[in-house]
Amino acid sequence: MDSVLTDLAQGAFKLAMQLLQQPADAHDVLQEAAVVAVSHPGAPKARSDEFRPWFFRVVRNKAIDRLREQKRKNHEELVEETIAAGENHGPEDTLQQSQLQQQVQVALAKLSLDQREIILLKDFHGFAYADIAAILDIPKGTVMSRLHRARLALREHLIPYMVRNDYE
Amino acid sequence: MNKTDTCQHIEELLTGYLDGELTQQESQRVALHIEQCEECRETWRQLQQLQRAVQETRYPNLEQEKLETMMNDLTSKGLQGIAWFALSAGLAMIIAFAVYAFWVDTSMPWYHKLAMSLIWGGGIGLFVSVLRQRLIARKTDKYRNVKL
Repeated sequence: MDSVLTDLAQGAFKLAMQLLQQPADAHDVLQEAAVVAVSHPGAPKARSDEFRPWFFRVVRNKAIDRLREQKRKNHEELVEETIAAGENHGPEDTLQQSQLQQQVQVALAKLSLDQREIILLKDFHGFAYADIAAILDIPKGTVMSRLHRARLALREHLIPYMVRNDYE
Repeated sequence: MNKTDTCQHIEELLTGYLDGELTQQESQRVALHIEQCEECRETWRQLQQLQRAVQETRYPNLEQEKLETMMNDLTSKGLQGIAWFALSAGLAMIIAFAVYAFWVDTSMPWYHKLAMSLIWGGGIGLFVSVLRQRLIARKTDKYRNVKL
C-alpha cells in the first residue's frame, strides 16, 4: 500500500493544488486522503486498477470540502493573484512555450471548478472517461459533453494566444 | 441533414475523437467530416493545441521531505490503530470477566450487586455521553483552526 501511495502522491498532490491553488492546503488534503486510503474498509485493493481513480476521487472530494469550508473567499483572491501574475511576465521572457503554459494556467484558473477539474483529469492526469465519471460521480455519458463545453470555455480565454503562438 | 446540423452533431464528437473515446464507426464519421469541413477542422486543430498545452503545463511537486514525513506518519497511524485495537480488546475482556466474576460471586447479596451495578452503569453512561458531546463539538467547531 505504501509504495502505491508514494507513486500516486505527486499526481494527487497536483490535483489538489490545481483545485485549491494553495500548496499548504493541497498537502493537508493529500494527507487526509492518504489516511482514508489506509483505513477505509471499502477502499479497493492498492494494486488494482480501481485504486487510482478511487484515490483521486477521495482527494477531489476532500479538496471540495475544504473549498466549501473556506467559502471560496480565499480562492477567489488567489485566482485574481494568479491572473495578475500571469499578466506580469516581462519582455525578457523569450520562451513562447513557457508564456503559453503560464497563460494556460491563468485561463484554467479563470474557469469554473467543474470545468477546470474535468479538463485537468483528462488532459493533465490522463484518466479515461470511465474513470473521470467515477471520480466526479457523474454518468459516463455526461463526461464527453461536459469536457467539450469546458474545452470550448478554455479556448475562449486562449484564442488570442493560440493565434500568436504556434504549437505545431 | 444540412451542413450546419452535421457540424453541430460532429462538434461534440470532436472531443471524444481527440481522446480516442469514440466507437470505430463514430471515429470514421468524424475523420471523414473534418477532412471535408474547414470550420470543424479548425476547431479540431484548436482542441488538439489546447490539449497539448494542458498536458505540458507544469505544477510543483510535493517536496520529497514532506512526502517522506507523510508516509512515515501513515505507518505510525497504522501501528497506532493496531495498538488501540489491542488495548480496547484487552480492556473489554477484563471488564467482561470482572462483570461475570462480580455477578457469580455468592458472598454479596443481590441488592448490593444491583446497587453497585447501577452506580457503575450510571457513571460510565455519564462519561460516555460527555465524551460523545466533546467529540462532536471538536469535529464541528468552526473556530478550531483559529490560532490565537
